[in-house]
Amino acid sequence: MNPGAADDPGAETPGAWPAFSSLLEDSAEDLYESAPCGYLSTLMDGTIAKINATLLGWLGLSREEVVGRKRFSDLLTVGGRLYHETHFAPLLRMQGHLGGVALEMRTAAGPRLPVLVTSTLKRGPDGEPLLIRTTVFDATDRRSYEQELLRARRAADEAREQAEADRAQLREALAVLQRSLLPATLPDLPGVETAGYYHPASPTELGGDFYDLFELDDTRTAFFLGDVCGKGPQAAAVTSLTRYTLRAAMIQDADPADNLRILNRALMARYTGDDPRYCTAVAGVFERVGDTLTVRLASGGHPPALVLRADGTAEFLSTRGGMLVGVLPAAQFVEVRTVLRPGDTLLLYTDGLTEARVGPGRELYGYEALLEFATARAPAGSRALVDAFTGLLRDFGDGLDDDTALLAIGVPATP
Amino acid sequence: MKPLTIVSSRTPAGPLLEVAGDLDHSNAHHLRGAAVAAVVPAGLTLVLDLGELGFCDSSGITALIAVRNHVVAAGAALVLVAVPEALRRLLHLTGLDQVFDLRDSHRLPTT
Repeated sequence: MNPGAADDPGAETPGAWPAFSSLLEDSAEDLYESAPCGYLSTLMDGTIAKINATLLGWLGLSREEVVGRKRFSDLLTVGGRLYHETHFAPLLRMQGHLGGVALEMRTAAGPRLPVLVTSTLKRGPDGEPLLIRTTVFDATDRRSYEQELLRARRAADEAREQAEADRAQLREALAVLQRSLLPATLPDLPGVETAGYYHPASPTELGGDFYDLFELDDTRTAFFLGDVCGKGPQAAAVTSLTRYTLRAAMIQDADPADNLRILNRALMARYTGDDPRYCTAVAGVFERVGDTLTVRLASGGHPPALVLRADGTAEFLSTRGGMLVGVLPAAQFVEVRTVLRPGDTLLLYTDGLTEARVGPGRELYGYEALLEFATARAPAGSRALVDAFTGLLRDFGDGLDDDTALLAIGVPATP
Repeated sequence: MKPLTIVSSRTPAGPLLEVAGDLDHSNAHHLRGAAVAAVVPAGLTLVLDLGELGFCDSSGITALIAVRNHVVAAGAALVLVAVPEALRRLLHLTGLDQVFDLRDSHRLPTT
């Protein structure tokens, strides 16, 4: 640098440069002693031969206490000393240089001083190690920054754990609610085989399908299955109202068409006008007579039930004309009767099954395919039939995007 | 998925809504809104032309029921014309063919 150069800013203010220059006239000694970092030189055994004032000041030690009396590792904390002996010193001897190592030093006042240490081996003309020169940087700010980062990460971890716990709790609540819409188990009935299955469209969304089956007395059993329009908590609320209304009505007086009329009134009283809520449902009663079941069932806008006969045929029980439940005050419900003999099985299902999309064209599975599938399996007991349909639903894969409920009631074949 | 479009016009018998595209849970409220906005005076008829309706799921059915409830409450009538076969089957299955007045064309007896 040329102090007299025209582009030097100091040239325009005579007298400024000499003052500036004198400030820069640090002696090497002063630069060493008062540098903004610690310096020390040690013999190869670690004994401190030279140390600057900055580092002495940080440690709260006097030169006399240190030089020729202490080794570098004496200035470190126990952990730092261990690390120094096992890693730092051997690596330094091997590589001749080691930089940016985080250690902690002990200060006379007590608090530990986090530092970053860099050491270089000074060798003699023959390459023999003579001494070690070390610089020490105060890493307090950096350490607190790191601790701040750690704290932030811990806080984020805790928040994430909390969110996961909340989510698990919500999932559990949904599962409990979902289970409350279905019977935990179907009752064991002598001479009758029953089976149910529920496929939820999504594990995180409450479904709208429901079914139930319960004994009325020694010979009569009531059952129903249905599908509430929509999904999610609002649909689940309707499902709950529907299930318990039907159950109460059937326990009181099991007349399927009447029971659906009561449900219709309950839904219309609760949901009106711009927010109509409705369901399709099949409700029925069967009575054991000898080794047969006489079945009465009524449908409100629900897909027709299937019957698989012992002779290997299958048919729909038409309930055409039965209306959606919850739409009209004067809704009509259509009742149908059938007799199940040994080897016969009745299957109720929701339209998740018939409205599944299949094949490359994503066609509706539909009623013809359903009848074909059932015929191919007839005769079949309730459990075997529900298992076969469960397999079919699984094979639909992502073509099945709605809830699906199945309920089978059959008379076991006479051996 | 075809976007839903609803074109509103007036006929001597009452307002006409031509509904085209797919009707599902994402847009069913538009149909309700359009029916409310159409304002059917008592004694007249709201006609929904469904000739260009594509997919219609249970939310669509719900919207049709809500439209019917709204129109009936106003003392007016609702007619569905040119109902596509798939929807017609669904209406039969759910017994709603007894609830909705289904016609083949726009030509209505003038009231």
